[in-house]
Amino acid sequence: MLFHALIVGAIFGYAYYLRHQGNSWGNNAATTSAIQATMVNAIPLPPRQPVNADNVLTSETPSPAPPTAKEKLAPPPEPTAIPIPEKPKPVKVAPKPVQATPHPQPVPPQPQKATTGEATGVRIAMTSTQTRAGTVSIGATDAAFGARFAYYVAQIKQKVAAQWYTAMLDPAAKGHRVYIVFQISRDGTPSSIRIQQPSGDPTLDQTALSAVQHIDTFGPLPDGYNGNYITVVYYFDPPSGP
Amino acid sequence: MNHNLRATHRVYDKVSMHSLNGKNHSRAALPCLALMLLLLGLFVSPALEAQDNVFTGTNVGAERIRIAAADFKPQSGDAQTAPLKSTFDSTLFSDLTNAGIFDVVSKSLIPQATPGTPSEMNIAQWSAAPASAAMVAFGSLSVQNSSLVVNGFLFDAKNAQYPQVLAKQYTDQANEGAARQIAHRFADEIIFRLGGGIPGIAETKIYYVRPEGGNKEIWEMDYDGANPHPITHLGSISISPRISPDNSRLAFSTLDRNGFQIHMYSLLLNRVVNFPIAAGTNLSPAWSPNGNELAYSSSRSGDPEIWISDANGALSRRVTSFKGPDVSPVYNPRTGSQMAWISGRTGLPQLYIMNTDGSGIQRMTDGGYASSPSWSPNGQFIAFAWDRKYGPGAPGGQDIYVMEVATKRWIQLTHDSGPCDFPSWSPDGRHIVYANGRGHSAQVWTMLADGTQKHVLSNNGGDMPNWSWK
Repeated sequence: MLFHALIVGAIFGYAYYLRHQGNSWGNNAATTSAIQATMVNAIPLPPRQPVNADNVLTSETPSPAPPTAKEKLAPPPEPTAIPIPEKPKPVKVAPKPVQATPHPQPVPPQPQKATTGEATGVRIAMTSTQTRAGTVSIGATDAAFGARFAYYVAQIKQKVAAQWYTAMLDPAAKGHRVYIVFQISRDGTPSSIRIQQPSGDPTLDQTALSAVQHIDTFGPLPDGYNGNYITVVYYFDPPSGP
Repeated sequence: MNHNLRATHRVYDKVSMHSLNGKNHSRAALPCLALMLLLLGLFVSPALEAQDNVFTGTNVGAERIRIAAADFKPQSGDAQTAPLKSTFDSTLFSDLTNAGIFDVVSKSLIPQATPGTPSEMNIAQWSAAPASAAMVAFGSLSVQNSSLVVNGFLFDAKNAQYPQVLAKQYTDQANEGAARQIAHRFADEIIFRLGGGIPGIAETKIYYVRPEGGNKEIWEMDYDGANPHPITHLGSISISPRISPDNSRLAFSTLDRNGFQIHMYSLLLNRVVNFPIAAGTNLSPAWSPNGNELAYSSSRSGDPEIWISDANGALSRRVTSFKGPDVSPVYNPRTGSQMAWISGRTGLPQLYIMNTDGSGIQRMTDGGYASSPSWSPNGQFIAFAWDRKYGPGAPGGQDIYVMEVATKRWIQLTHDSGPCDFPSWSPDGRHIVYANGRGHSAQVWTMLADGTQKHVLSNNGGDMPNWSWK
């Protein structure tokens, strides 16, 4: 028994001796070797940067956690926190004089339509938008004028085409399309007639301009249209030669 | 605020988006930016005028509008409804046919349905063949408490999304005349909307001379020949009626014991009002477009010359001074500062124009025998009767011609239909009324100003027609 204990103790003692006296692998203590070699070219790893312990981003030691605030406990309620109800004393109240209710006044009839301006025969779908400043109502902007009032555009077309005198055109001129811009005001009168893009043929430009200038009125803008005027871009093609 | 938002809204006709796209977008950006600044910055709403753009051009097809007039829907069981409806339907149809700007779908081609309200309207049914209508006029008619109520609508059959062009309601007494009047008004509204802002003529009148035995009296009828009735009962020969621009007075020339004198008849008082008597023969009055002056031919100085007086016959002054007859003056209704007349100063009567002060005389015809000019309402044309080869055995006869004043080019409107005389323009400049025939066989005819759609208006004799100004 003692011999067994002696053997075990000898093994541990030898191991203990070996641990302190043997070669220690992986130990980078400065005492192990006088030569340090860094083999940067052989190993495909990035070189390690020296660690600055003061830098919290590079330090490997975690910074101390912030102190947590202690939970405050609510103070215990006062003994008089909950009042003890007392029996209310009956109060004698003198009756108030009854006030006469106002006689219902007749409400003036609200106008069904605008008191000024003509009544429109066509209702435009309105869309409302909520903004911080209030509600903005706009006419249905998806209804383009040319789509909504196609008949009026056709009428402009017809009226100008009927006023265009092609007899004064120079048949030999090399012209192409001329664009005339004008405005039609609410009552149908054209104004601000000008050439937007000349054709290169002066006779064509001039006849096109005078065609629009000859027109007194295109007829009032459609009832359903709220604008004050429309701008028309009108082009004239030179008639194709014989 | 809503005007601001709509200001950048630019519209183009479908025909031709292709070529100006880039330019227009860049031009649209500027007002858009300004608008954003206004909206974000101040929330004031300066009145930026709303504006829409239309892009269109010529050579994209300008043809007559094909319009269908549906039979109106009777919406009351009153016994009067059926006859009034038939009057209304036929009047509306003929008004649209007479307008000259429409290709009216025949009644035999239109669908059987009689929609009375927009909700009952199946627009595809009308735009499809055989009607193929671009526009449809429809509505309902009812008699309520002995008053006639007509709801009329005009739909654009090519515009499925926003078809409604017009919606009108008319109320009047329940009788034939009112039904005709309402149809005239509705037709005029359609013509006004679709005809380029020129008011229709369905409510205008025609004044003419009707021979009765040995006398000639002034009569009035509707523009379509309906409702003829006499105005004067003078028992004499009254010729060349001319209605004043405000439809209040009728000037004409009557043979009385002082010879032919200008007479004035008030349509408001329904009697002859005073007009001073002048020496000689006084013929062919003509109103200035503002209604303040009356020009006529007077031979008080021995030779028929053009004289101008005010509407009451005072302050008369002589305008022409050449030897030879000067008759049949007519003002330029557009400006009121020019006058066309017939002068025989070089022999046969020719057409001349001058300023109303007698200056700037131009001879318009180069020969033949010209008479009875009528200046078109837009001032561009003069219609007149002309016998271009005048003389015994000469070919041709007296026909109606229209001359463009600026170029002196003319076209002939009547052919081979006997002597035609006394043309008179309608206020819309699309029609000409004239007399065909001589003496008691003469009739009043009407035609479009291009010489088409001729038809007779008077059924019992008529001569020297004059179309009212409005």
